[in-house]
Amino acid sequence: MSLWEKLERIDRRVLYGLLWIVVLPVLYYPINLPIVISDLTTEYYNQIEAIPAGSVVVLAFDLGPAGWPELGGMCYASMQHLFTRISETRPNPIKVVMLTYWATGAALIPNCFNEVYGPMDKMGAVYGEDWVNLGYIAGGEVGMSNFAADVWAAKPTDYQGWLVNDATKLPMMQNVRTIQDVYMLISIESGTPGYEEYLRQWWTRKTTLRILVGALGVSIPGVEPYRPTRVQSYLPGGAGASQYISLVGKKVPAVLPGQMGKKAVGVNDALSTSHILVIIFVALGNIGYFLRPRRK
Amino acid sequence: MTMIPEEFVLAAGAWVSVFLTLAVYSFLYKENPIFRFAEHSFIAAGVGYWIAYNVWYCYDLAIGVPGGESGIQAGQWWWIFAFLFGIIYYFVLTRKYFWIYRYSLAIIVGVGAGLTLRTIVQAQILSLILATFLNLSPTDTAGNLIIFNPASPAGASLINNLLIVVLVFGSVIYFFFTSEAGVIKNIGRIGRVALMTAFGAAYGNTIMTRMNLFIGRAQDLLGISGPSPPDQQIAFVVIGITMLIVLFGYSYLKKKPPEEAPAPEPAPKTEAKRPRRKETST
Repeated sequence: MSLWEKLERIDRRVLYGLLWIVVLPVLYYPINLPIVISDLTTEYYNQIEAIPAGSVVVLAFDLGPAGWPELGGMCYASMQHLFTRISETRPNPIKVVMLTYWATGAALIPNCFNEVYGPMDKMGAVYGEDWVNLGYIAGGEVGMSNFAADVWAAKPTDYQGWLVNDATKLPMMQNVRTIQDVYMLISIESGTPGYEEYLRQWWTRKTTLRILVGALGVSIPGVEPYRPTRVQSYLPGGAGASQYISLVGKKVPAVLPGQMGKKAVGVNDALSTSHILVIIFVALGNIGYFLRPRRK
Repeated sequence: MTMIPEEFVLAAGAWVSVFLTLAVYSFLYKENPIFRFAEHSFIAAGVGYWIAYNVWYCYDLAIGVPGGESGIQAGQWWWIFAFLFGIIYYFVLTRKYFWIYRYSLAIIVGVGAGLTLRTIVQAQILSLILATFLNLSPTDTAGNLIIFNPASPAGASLINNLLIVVLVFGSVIYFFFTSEAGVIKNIGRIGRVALMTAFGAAYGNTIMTRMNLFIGRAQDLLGISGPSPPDQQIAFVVIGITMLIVLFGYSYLKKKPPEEAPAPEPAPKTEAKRPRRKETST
């Protein structure tokens, strides 16, 4: 077997070992490679900055733990950004409704909130008045359709069993009855149901609905054609998450937890070094393919 | 009732998560019982979790909660039909009454198809077509033609829009098989290049996703993030070394030949073919 053929047949375990070697050091000691903010991330950020006072925003956690490593950063930063906007828009603050159409996403909402903010309401946002967590809504696309037509009927209680029609506990929900009351949807998602179902069931009922998507890297080619007519912007995978975290971190440095900022930088560095490794081996594999002796 | 200390819960969670992560990664070495244990646990936990959340949701919605506006408790008796169709879905498990479950299935398929078909043209098909009808002379606010904008490489510009139009057209022509004309073939070749480039980009994005997942888990294993970093670090070392020893041991035992080779079985006797009985006309 020639050297070139060997290059094409490197044992996968060697590659996994090398991956650990290139990722490990930069995770422990980030080299702070520059994070270049893309147009998409800037637009995502600007759209949230431009939410008018008093508007209702739905933040959907349509993901599971399997998508968390890539999308978790977006969840933290989006939630943090929205809560900052709540305090900025007082005395008529924006209202944030959190929900998920993924059963596995239900536990991620309180986890995310607790990890970013510690005890609830630390940001000054009051549960029930400024934000609400509706939790899991079953039915996928059918559930989305129901929610768009009648919010109270689709989800009678919030995640802790409080009635959405109870004006004393959840006063903000008294003005959220159909999709017509929603200004913006931010869907951080790792599959189906996701933005396509939202487009079919929510956007068709309200074509002025602003939609932002936090997408897995693998979903980017699917989202792109819908921008900017249907989807205003999206965060492309882990790179987008790192960019967005750094933008939010500049706006509210006191709020951004140190661990999360470090994590974002670490992810960016590790992504870069691991991609360099992948590029090297793709190049070597191709060189091997073209230079090996051909069988006649 | 005594409460379990939070530190203990966090530590236990760290050890379990590290064990399950390494158990799944052990598949990269080869298929083994530790991986299968983690795989089965994951599926079982996922199914249980999903069922619990859905039952809870159905209870709130269909039976209703005191003071609520939906459900049987609020006088919406028609939810009984939902339960009925839900129950007859279980006839899928019987052979004799299998057909009954088709009524439930028909409703699910019908509702799904109806909801989707009602809106798919407006929300998706039209938008995908419109995304390719681009202005070939995009101008800035001053009215100057934008040939290419380095500040916004993916933004509207003559080069970007022209590329999109030509490559989409070429890709569509590539699937036009009924003509052998040279022009069609050549445009199809451009389309093939466009498709290959798109697949390459999609593959690159897939790699980015997988790398992200790996990096996320690596951060937890190394204690850079997660609920209990010191426990995660100790667990990573202890479980990692133990698992390596077990895996190599398992691999060695699997490779070891049996002490006594079983005696070869005698070759089966071949019987002469019976002469075929002549068919008699009746």
